[in-house]
Amino acid sequence: MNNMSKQELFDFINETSFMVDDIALYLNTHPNCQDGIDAYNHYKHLRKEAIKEYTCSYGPICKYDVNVENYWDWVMRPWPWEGECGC
Amino acid sequence: MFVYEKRLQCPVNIKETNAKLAQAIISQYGGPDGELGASMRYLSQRFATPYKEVMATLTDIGTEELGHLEIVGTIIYQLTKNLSMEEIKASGFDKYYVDHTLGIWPQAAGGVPFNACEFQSKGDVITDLYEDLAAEQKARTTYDNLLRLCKDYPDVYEPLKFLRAREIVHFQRFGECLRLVQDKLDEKNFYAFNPGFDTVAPCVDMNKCNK
Repeated sequence: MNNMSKQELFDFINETSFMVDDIALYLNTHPNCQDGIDAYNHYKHLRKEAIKEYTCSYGPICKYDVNVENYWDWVMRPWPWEGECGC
Repeated sequence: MFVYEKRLQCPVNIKETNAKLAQAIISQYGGPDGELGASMRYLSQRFATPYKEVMATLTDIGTEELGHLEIVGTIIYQLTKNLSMEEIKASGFDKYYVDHTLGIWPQAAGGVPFNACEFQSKGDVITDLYEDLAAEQKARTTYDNLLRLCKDYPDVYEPLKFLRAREIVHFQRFGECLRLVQDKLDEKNFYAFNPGFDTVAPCVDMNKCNK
């Protein structure tokens, strides 16, 4: 994760997030599946670390994670529908 | 991307069912000034707005309105949970019951189904913001009306009071957005063009106009 560019890290967040979304959906109806649970934990951890690194280096993707001291810059970063690097 | 959090923005714990109240409150679920229309209005308008502050405000308020939809749905669910056939008939809830049983469905208090024509996304930031200001006031009035109907039911009254207060906060924020957009307009063209579309007034030559 340390050698990733901004875009690569962002893509990685999208990929791991989708894995978590899809596995969690499966687990809703298969709550005892150990393989599913292991996969959920694996991708949840990767996603969490990637988001932590992205937020620290490039800014937050979630408004609950804005690290703010004296200026609220959440607004000015690109919005996903503007067609730039994700967020 | 939207992610669900398993919590209500304001807690709802209603101990007694009341199908009569539910039939009035359902208007804030799917009625003309309800939370579904509010959310869809702001989440739709934000794409074409030219200013980031307005994008942020529409995103945040549109998201919060989805949370309000959940609160209103919870109120209706708890007010109608485990109703007996006698209560359904006596309260006039039978007309809703025949189509939806005890399911939650977006309609107005008078039974009119939710309709996207209850909101606009006009692609003109000033037009949209005026609609948003009006929408927050209309919703606030609806909550005032509901609060008068619910004043003897504190379990219902308190979350409705919270929702009413949010309408006022949102009105304030949209007012600030409108002010911000107006500050970015050329003073000669105040209201004359759509900053999301035109760079100059579309139908007049401003130089000729000023002579």
